[in-house]
Amino acid sequence: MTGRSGRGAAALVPYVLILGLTLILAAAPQWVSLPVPKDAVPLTGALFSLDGGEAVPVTLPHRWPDSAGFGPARGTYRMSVDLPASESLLLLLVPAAQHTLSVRLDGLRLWGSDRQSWGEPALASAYVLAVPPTREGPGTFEIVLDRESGAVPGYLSQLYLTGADATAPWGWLWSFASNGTRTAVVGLQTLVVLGITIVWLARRHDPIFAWLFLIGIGSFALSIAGVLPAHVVSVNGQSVLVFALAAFGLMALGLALSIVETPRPPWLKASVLALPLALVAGVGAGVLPPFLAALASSAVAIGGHLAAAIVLFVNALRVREWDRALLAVPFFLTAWYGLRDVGILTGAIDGVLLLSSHIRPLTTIAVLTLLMRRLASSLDQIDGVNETLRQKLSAQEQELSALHLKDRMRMTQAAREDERGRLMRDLHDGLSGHLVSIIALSQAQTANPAAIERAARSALDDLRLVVNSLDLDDSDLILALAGLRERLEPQLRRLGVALDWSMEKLPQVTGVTPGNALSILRILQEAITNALKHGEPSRISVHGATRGDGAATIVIRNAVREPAATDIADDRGHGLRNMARRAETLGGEVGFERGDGCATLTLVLPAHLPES
Amino acid sequence: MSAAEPAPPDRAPYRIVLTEDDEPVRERLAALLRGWDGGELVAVCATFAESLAAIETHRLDLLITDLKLPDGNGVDAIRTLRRKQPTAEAMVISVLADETTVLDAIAAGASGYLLKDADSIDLIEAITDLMAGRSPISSRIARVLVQRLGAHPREDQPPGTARGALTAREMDILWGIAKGFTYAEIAERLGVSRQTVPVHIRNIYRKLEASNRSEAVFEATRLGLIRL
Repeated sequence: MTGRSGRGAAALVPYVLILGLTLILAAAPQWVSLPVPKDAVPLTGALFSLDGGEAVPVTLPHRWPDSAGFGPARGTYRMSVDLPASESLLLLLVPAAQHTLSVRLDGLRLWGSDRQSWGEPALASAYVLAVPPTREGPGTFEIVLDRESGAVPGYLSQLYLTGADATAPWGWLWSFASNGTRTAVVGLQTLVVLGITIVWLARRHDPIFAWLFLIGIGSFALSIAGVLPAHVVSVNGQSVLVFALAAFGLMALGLALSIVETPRPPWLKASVLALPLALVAGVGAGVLPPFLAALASSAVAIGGHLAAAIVLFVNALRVREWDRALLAVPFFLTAWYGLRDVGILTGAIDGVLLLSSHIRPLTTIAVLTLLMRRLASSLDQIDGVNETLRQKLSAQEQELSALHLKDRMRMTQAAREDERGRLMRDLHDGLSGHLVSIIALSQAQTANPAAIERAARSALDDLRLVVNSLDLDDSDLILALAGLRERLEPQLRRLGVALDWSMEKLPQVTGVTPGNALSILRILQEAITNALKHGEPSRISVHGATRGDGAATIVIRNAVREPAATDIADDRGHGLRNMARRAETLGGEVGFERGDGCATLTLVLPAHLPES
Repeated sequence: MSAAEPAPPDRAPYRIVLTEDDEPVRERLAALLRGWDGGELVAVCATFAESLAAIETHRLDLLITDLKLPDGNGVDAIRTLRRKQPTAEAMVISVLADETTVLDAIAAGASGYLLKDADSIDLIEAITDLMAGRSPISSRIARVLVQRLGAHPREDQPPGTARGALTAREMDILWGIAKGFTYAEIAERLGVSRQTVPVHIRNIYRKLEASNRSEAVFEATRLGLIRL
């Protein structure tokens, strides 16, 4: 349960209300009575005989004398009345009678709410009986109270005769008190027990629901047993239902300890069944006088409920959770009325009606309230937990996306570093070499402008080659090659060499990273340079094609001088080795053929270049 | 590109202004131009201010300018020239002829570019082509243009935008160059003469310049800078 304790005096309000309600209900028997219609005719005098004995005049309300003793007994009241003329139905109101009541008027049975549907006959009940309107003038009522078992004395309150219309404003209350309550209580009890059973089946580990289930089932069983014929549930003239009271005391204590989260003694649950059984056995075997056994059972019931009430109220105050004190109200009242009932039965208190069992509906209501409160607070907790989880989740998602972003930035950074490293290497390999040559050439004793220009142009070519290899899409090989062609065209034109270039038949090659592109461009550049250096051609053709296996080929063909100059073979071999090495890193190869005045260099590239 | 034709001028020499801040390069190009009968170097400028003054002073046929000048940008000089002397052409000098430089220059109204290390033949060919209404375009620049104009060559676009202004043939040519095909290959594919390819490219340049101008005007109007 969630503590919803307020601050200061406001926090005490629920406890004051609970305490006030308890006191009001505890005092209720002193001032609560059924309203009697104004013009009702009270019937007070009667002739009473017990078990067919001598009739003695008595005044109502009347309680059986102690001579009624123990066990089955029948008390008969006769009262002569002068029935008034009435146009409507006459009613005989019986505010309270203990034990099974039946009424005859001049031998004719009166019908009304006398048929007890639920509840123990020993408890006080109200009755509303119809008197036929045809009867007028003198008549004699014979009122019989039948006690089937136990020591509870018969009791008959004052009676009233009244017209049916006169009861109108309070008719519902009479009807409710006479029979409606009992039925309603059983219906309510059935529903609550059903609910508790379902919860308990789903939460077998929760002691609160286990005890609630026990109490529910127990009182339900008691209600059922209450309508059985007395001899079925009696032993030695004593209804066993009284022995069940002890079990309720123990169960109240068990429930209270569970609510305040205190361990229950292991014998407690066992005693719930063992103690009533022991009492029944003791009475059955004649070891225990029934009255004494009933007193013992009542004592345990009263003690258990009182202890439970105290435990709950004190704990609720201590932990500031007022709903824990809810059950303390019916528990205390059960103990209080129980004590009063015992007092009445033993003659210690001057009273007539037994009330403790009437608290059961109040217990049911308290349990229902408790359950609903727990349900509400559980839902609140779930909401809270959901909100917390949602916040945690969103925090984690943010963290994750931040990590992801960082990761991506790191990857981008790494890629940039790689690219920068490659550019540095490329510039170092090509451009810087040429620049160093230019410095050396320009510092030579006999400066050779043509050589300087060549070196500078080579440097620029190399720079353009590097720039050309940047910013390519994955499959932009033809575009990369076009950049080379665009640079070669004016150079070759200056030398009077025609360039026959076609890449239309080149297949799609993927994996064209800037590094791979640069390697391919360097191979081709070197091939062209070699062709110019060694061949002095008037025409160079560069054609792309697809090989049977899907690989790409680029064939560079040019005319060569005849015969082959052996003195340059080494140089050419070095260039070829260089190209072959580059082609190898691309997963490709370089082939060179020479014959018929023609040199052919073939570069083969796989359809997918390896990651560089 | 077409073969160089250092034709004997049967016309008046082109009146040329050269703007380049690097002295050796400027001197080298000036020497090449002086040595060509087809052109008359009316002014050699080292700064943006000098270049503007030359445009104000002389009636000219061609401005050859570097873009990065110590006191300004050559793009602005080209823009001024195109406004003051609409019949005059402009050409950009660049080391790498990279996309940024060339596209900026085209948008300002240039019709061609020259590499700084060009020799005499390159220079004369570039000028002759340009003055004859032919423009060069590299595959990289074509690719950037295609990317800017939209992915597919035949999608309809509203007129008024650069893309809407280009004809289907012009888009095809741009597309072919962006794919790395040679002029000859494109001409064969499209069934046109190889010589007309650079003419189409010139038209593309002009439309890009125009669309750039109209878009700039449109943008300025939208921002409330110009009241029409």
